[in-house]
Amino acid sequence: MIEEQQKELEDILAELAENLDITETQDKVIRQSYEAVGNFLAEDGSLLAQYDVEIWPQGSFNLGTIIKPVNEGDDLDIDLVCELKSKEKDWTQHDVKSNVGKRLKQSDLYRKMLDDEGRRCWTLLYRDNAQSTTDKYHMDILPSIVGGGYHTIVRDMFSAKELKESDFDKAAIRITDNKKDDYYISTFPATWLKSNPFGYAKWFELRQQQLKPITRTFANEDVKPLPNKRRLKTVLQRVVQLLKRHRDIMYNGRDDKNDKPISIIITTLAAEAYKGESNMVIAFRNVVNTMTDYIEEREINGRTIKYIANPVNKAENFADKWSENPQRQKNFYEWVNKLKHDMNLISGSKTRILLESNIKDSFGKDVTERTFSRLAEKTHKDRENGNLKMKTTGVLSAIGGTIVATNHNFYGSETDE
Amino acid sequence: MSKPLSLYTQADMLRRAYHGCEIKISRVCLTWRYNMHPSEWSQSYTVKIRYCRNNKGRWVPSTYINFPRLLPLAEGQNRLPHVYNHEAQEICLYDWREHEWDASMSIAETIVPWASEWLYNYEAWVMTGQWYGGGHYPESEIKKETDKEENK
Repeated sequence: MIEEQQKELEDILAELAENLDITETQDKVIRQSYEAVGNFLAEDGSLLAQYDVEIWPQGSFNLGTIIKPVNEGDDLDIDLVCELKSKEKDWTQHDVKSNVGKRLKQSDLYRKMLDDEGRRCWTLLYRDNAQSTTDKYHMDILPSIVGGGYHTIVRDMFSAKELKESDFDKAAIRITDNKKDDYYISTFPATWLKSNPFGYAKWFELRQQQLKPITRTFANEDVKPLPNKRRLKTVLQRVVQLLKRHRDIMYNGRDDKNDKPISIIITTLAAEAYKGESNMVIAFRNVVNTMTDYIEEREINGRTIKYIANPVNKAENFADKWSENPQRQKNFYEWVNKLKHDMNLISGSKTRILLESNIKDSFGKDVTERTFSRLAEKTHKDRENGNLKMKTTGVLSAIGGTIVATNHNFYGSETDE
Repeated sequence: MSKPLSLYTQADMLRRAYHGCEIKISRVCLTWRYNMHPSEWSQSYTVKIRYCRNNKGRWVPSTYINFPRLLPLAEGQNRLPHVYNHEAQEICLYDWREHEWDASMSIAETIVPWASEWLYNYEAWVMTGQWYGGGHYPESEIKKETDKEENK
């Protein structure tokens, strides 16, 4: 792949990744939906009002790495944290979880949308009010307890330039888990399961390095949408989107798709492997080639297991399921091998038509066709605006070329003359 | 129309702009052949332009894709888009009804980049089945009318 080809491939992959973004409308609808939930939980008369309850997005929606599902009609998955700043002294995990559920069921709307109770979450299924089948989504609401002064802690964390694990740890929250022995017993959140979605988000932000930091504000209002991050995507966010999409295409329709590599592992390893490259093709290639280097091996109870540490809580192994379910480990390595293979196939494409076909096989037919049509539309627009140039080799581009392609109209007959 | 450029001027401009091109010139015709690719990833195409007088005595450039000899088609299509002659792979680059091209214009700066643009859009058409380059298709009725005009 010569340098000019690499540049063109970067434009193609950037356009592709942009086409994986959820639409602005979807983004808006989702924000409105979780704000509405947050308001309902916190409003006067709510049984949770006195605990200063708030809803915040976490996971890929918050990290800016969310992608459209492969199949139209498949659900978007939105992860939310439901924070209680305090609780009754005698409340157990079960009380926290069921009081959030109880409040949700007080709404005619949410009662109908509520899915079966999950292990740690309540899930709201957005169906009837979706504008089309492509607008289906569900929201996983994670009840949690945060310490006093939590907002100050998170705000300070987000303004920091560098952080130690112990700094991240201050932003940890406590969550409930109905499979835990003390679910009905323990009233001390300090002994409950720990989670740190905002610490993770900050860590991910720091990994994006060299790029303009994205400003985030945590305000005092009950629910404040984060600034719209669309179109401000960093190279790392785009790389993660491409990786997740490649995984989704690889596992689409497979029997073992429940054992496909999970997003948190992909995101963590990609962020570890990312070295601040500003070129997406180089970044992607580097991440693909080195991401497995960040998987550790640890001796636990006399067994060697794979360990992918949560960067903000090293005691948590994101790959903890691999030892009980070896298929997952196997699938992960299989996926990375296929990524390497596909990346080489793409870089080695002999023609642009074959390049498109190879990208299609890796990232999906519809999104690839949309990508190449959008690029062709841009080229056409550039020419109409007098910005299209041509190098003497014939290569067209809006930048770098000597011969300007003036306006004209392709003509021709539908039958031979 | 400004002053027409002579065959020799056209040939000279083509030669200077496109190194390694092949030019044949006679009193009545100019033939130019060149290998070009519309994007960094594209394969190389051989484009041939024949610049001769037509039967109405007008100087007209005809553009062909000489290589590959059989351009692949988009799925489900049986004919190339925007061509005068599918078999000969003679492509249509401008709307002659609108006098978008005349002999005062440099072939090197118009027809050649337009040919590259045709190739670019042809590739996108193979990939997606759609033509993104804009332009027109004559409806047969309109065409007969304008043909009559041309023949007057």
